[in-house]
Amino acid sequence: MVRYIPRKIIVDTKVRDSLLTDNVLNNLPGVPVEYVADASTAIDAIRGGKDPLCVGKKVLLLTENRGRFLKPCPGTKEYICCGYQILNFATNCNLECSYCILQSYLNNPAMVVYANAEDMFAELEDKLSQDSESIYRIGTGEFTDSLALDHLTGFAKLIVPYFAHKGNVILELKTKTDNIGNLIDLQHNGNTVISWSLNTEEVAQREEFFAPSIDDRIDAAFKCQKVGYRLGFHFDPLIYYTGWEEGYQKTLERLFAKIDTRNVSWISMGGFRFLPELKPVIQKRFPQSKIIYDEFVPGMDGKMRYFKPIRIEMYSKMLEWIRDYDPKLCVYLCMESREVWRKVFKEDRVENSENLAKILDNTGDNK
Amino acid sequence: MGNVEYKQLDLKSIDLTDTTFVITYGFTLTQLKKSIEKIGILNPPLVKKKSEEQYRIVCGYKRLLVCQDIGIEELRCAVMGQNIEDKDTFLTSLYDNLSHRALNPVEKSITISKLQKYYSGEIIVKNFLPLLGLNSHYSVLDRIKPLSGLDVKIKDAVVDGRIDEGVAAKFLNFSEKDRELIFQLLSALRFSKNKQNEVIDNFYDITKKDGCSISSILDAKELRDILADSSLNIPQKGSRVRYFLRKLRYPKIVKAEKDFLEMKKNLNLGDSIKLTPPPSFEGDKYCIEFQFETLDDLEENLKRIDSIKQNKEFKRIIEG
Ligand code: SF4
Repeated sequence: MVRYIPRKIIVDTKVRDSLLTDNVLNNLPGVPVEYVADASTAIDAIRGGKDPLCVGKKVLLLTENRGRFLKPCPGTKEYICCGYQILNFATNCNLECSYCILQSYLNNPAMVVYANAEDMFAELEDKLSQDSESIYRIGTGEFTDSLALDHLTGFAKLIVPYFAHKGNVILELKTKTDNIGNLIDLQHNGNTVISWSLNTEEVAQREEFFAPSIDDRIDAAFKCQKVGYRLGFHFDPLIYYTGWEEGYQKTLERLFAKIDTRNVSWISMGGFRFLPELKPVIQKRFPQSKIIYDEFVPGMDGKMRYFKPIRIEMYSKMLEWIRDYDPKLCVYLCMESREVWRKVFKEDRVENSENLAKILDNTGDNK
Repeated sequence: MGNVEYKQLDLKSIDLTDTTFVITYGFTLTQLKKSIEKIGILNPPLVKKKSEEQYRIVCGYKRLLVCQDIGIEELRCAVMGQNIEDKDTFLTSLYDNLSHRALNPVEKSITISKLQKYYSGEIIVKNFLPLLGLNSHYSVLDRIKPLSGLDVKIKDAVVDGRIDEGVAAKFLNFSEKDRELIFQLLSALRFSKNKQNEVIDNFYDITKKDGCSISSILDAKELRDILADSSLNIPQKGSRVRYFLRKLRYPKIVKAEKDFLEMKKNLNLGDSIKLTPPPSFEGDKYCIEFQFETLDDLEENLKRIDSIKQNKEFKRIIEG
């Protein structure tokens, strides 16, 4: 996999002395750096310019997060949510998946790293000590890929050891990359789950342009398994196309040839869904992609989703195939209704978001 | 305007086919012709020398066309100095047009294409789009710019409001031959703008989804039968054509809708009880609604509703 290298770095002077800024600049000698007191002018220029999504990804902005770092996952009440907390340390991603929701979601087209890590840790200390009884499942891969920039930022080296000493936290680093070099020697104490977003090899090749192949992702997971990390896998987005059954079965076969199911904390599934605004973006940026031409209906959260029977069919078959490897694996659905859960799992085991959160808290904590 | 000289010119010396500085599109000359015939040309056209014997039009394209039409051989023109750069000459033409009317979408597109000869995309977006009454954004530039390259029929339909400007831009996703076919259909069925959008989107999506051509869709017997059915009026044909396209675009959804209607019929709920599924079958809440006048009425409706619990198909839909 080709590692991300920006064409230009913009450093907000407020974070010029931060450790993450140091890491990035030391890892990118020769890349032009511009120091600015206010990054908004540079961002506005990209936003108003030609092809902001493409141009933006070539610019790495190191700035400060002035809001909260930790926020609940923006689930909607209409669908059952896993009750995740998002640690927002960076936004945007260079892997160029055609279906990436960030293309229509983010206001800032640049690759952003919030380099005021000291503020982030202060906030975490404060939050986690307030309620030491609750279990926090915290993820960093909601508005970015958790590891895509790790060779530059070394963020994992800060965050994994930090959470290794927290009793009530499960950190999930969600990625499509094999950028795991920093993880291998870290002390994690079983508190970090490294998880991969998987798909069929056809989808990976056709729709996930700069992401490694499925085999490379599984190899990376295998290396993490060797050093004792718990693992997660996300079949999200599941893509419906002629041959999907064979494709996903092959991926599962490759996965479980290398990964011991006992090391897997969870597997999630989610059908492809998108905000209506994303369709013209995909049409323009990825004209060869066909994934938007299937049968979608407006979901109760305003996103377009596969027609319900298609989703139920895909989830049911996937569940059956996964259970063939290990019936005890924790499998959950991402943002689905109680009805879909019931029809897929043939029981009313998850009634609401609290239920699901509890199941995942227990599974993740099951070191 | 400095550096202008007034001259009596032979109409033949003005090249009416040279539209380097002309942005006018989609007009009729009837009114102007009447006025020129009655009172002559009050405002002399502006031209610029292009060779020893020939002039190029800067402002007054329509006036010159009328002159040609009614056989005027000579007229007084304002001739721009040769030292004025083409860029400024074009701006003179643009500002002259903008000073007395709003440009139609095709003219805006022509303007943008011509401005590109002289300015970067950034300057056009920043300075000229607002001048044309458009939002200062690249996406607007990308949407409007290609309109001038469309076929004359489609451009004319945009100018006179038969085809929506957004729909016209979508024509560019098709080949010239396919554009012609779709245009014929949209024109014949006189769809509203929303429906035009729906139809053209469905055409495009079907070709992408099924890898088929527009002509193969239009060649389908079912579609040809609808169009040839003389017992149907235009709105009826329009709604059947839309349904036909929807069936191709969303076969599973349309089948589910049909199955639901069939099942509903078999429930024997009668006319007074309305059973409605969740929108697009996405939610899980079904709705039953009825009105009643008497207690007997109420009793009868409740009995009918109670009986549907036993219907296997209904149970399957609800419980899975
Ligand atoms: S890896 Fe995730 S965040 Fe990155 S482009 Fe793909 S979908 Fe978007």
